[in-house]
Amino acid sequence: MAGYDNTTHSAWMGVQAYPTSRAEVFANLAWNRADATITNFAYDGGPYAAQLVGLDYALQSAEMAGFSNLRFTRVGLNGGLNVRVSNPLVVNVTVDYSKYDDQDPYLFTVTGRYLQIFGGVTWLF
Amino acid sequence: MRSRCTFVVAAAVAIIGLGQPLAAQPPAPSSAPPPPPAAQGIVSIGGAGVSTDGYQGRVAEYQVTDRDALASLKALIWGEKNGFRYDLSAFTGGDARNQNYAAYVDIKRVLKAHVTYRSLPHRLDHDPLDYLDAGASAGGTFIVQHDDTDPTAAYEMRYGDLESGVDITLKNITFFLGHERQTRGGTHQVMTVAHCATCHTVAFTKKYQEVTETLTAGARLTMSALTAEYTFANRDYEDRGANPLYQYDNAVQPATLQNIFLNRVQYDDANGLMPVSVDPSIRKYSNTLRARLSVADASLTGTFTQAHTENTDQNLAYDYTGGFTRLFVPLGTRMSLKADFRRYTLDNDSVFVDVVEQTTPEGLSAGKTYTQAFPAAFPATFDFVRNSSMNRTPTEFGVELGARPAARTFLRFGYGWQAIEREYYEVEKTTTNTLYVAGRSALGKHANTRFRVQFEDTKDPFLYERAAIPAVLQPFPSPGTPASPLTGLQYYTMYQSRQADLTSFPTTSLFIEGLLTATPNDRLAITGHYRWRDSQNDDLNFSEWGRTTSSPGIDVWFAADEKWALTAGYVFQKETLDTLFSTLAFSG
Repeated sequence: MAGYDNTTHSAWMGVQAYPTSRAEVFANLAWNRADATITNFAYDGGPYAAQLVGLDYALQSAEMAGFSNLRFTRVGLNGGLNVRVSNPLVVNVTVDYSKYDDQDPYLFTVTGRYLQIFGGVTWLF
Repeated sequence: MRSRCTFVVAAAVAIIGLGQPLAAQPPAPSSAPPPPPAAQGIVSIGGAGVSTDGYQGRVAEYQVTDRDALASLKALIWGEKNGFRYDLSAFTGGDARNQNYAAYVDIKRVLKAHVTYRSLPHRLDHDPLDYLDAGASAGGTFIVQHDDTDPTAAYEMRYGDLESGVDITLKNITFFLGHERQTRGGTHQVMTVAHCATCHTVAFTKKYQEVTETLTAGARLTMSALTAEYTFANRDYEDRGANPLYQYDNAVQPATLQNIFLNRVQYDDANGLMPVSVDPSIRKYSNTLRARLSVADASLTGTFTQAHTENTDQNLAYDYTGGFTRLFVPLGTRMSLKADFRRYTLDNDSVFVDVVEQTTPEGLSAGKTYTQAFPAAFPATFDFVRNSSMNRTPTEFGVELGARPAARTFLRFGYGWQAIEREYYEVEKTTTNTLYVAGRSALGKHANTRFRVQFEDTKDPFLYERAAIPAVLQPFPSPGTPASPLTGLQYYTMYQSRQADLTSFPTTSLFIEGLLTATPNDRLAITGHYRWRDSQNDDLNFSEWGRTTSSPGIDVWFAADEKWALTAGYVFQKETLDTLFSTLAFSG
């Protein structure tokens, strides 16, 4: 018998505030964590192999038992400011940030970072 | 009504898109709202700076990140005058891959028309294939290997969707016509495998240009108690891209490299360049008839659909014919009865497969096909008729009793029966009985709760018969110098001797979920929720299968005063899967 266990944690928090009648500030934080592993799979094909130079043999070794394991964390932050400078005019700024941390790469490492800063003006008529 | 909703949604989308959830909302209308203005709208201009690093397929899977800065423009205008309503919106994110346009028109509720277009990028994964290496000690030539012909390629698809429709209402009949054109273009990774001499996986970059066009037309009749609708739909799909070409490996004995394996494959290098990853053109049409009859608070609805889907390159097709009906009857003021019935048939063409049976040029079997070389193991030819496991007739019946035993308390008791009859698959019939009870209730003025408990019992669930654990047919190495660690069995004898059935479907499944929300005052709400499912199959002949999922969570909303509010939450999920796992060395 073999198996596959996985756990995920997701937590988030958001704050929205109106310091004045014409301004709004908001911030959202999200944290996700996922762990997964093959269980009870004791496979080692290494003793049966002749290994040629230049080939990796990942699936012909004990490494196969943990080949698709997962240990991954993502942190996301979104925040911004909206200011109504006059009745038809609103100025806004937002920041989006995400950080991906792949601690057990599978096929390829998906560690990375994304940052976007946006500024704009909105006219209502 | 739809146009008014559209106006609200469009405004909300514009505001959210600019990150201003509340500040720009107009004041709430008074009790006697003035007539709507002929024109109002929103215009937004902005710019975004983007910085990324790492694997773009995750950090920016659907974003344009080719340039550090992008300008954006969004404009919405809507209004109403003399029964003419319109709603126009346009957004461009500074790149052709990030656009969204929509136009809605309503003329005195007689003619309604719309057209929308949106596009977005989607980055696609690139499998490095570098785990596909393996070998046996038999001469150092019996290996699994790979080749990625474009190892630095970054794959991306651009999605586009142009959709339009018009409704014309003449008294109690509405005629409607719609058209949708979806496009997916770009590059993605495709693979093929050459067997004999080695298991050789080769990856290519394929340029593709998929176009799916759907045309719908129909009419809807509305009478006092009866509504009936007929819809015809036609969908065509084709890939206008070019297929990669590949010359497969020479089929030789993997260890000795003798030219004796040609009769085990249908093609090898002698066939020259051959196309890889060919997507056939598909045509589908359907006829759908819907009807609803309402008498007092009772209703009877029904749907009948007949559809035909055809691979027009190969003239292969399958048909869907099915119907669904639902009866709802109130039983007094505190109870109701709902009954559903559904039955459909999938009928896929059987196909005669004319296998190319080549003869081997050398060795003891020279001049013979594979079946001629092993006449005791196989029939005279590998030609066969492929009868589809897709052919099936599912029948479903469900009945639900609803009750309101107390104020703001609702309970539902249900029973469902489903039978899936398969024409050709080994599991000829699967039967599932389902029982459930669900409810929701207000617990005083400061709490409410919701729950559902469901149990399913399945007889003969879908499984793969004789999928694993081949019998030990030769418990000693084959002779040779050096001695092979593998037995001298042919791979087909191992496959044919498999004994264990495998599945990923349960015979019993229990599902429980509950939710409790407490609101001690107007500024605080706390919700706890829990979901649990346990599925087991203990009817397999060699093993048991099971999957258990547990997921608790909590949400909190708190508003200290009129100036700020906080939301927070946490969800945990744990899933455990147990199954028999068995693999053959080198899959033969």
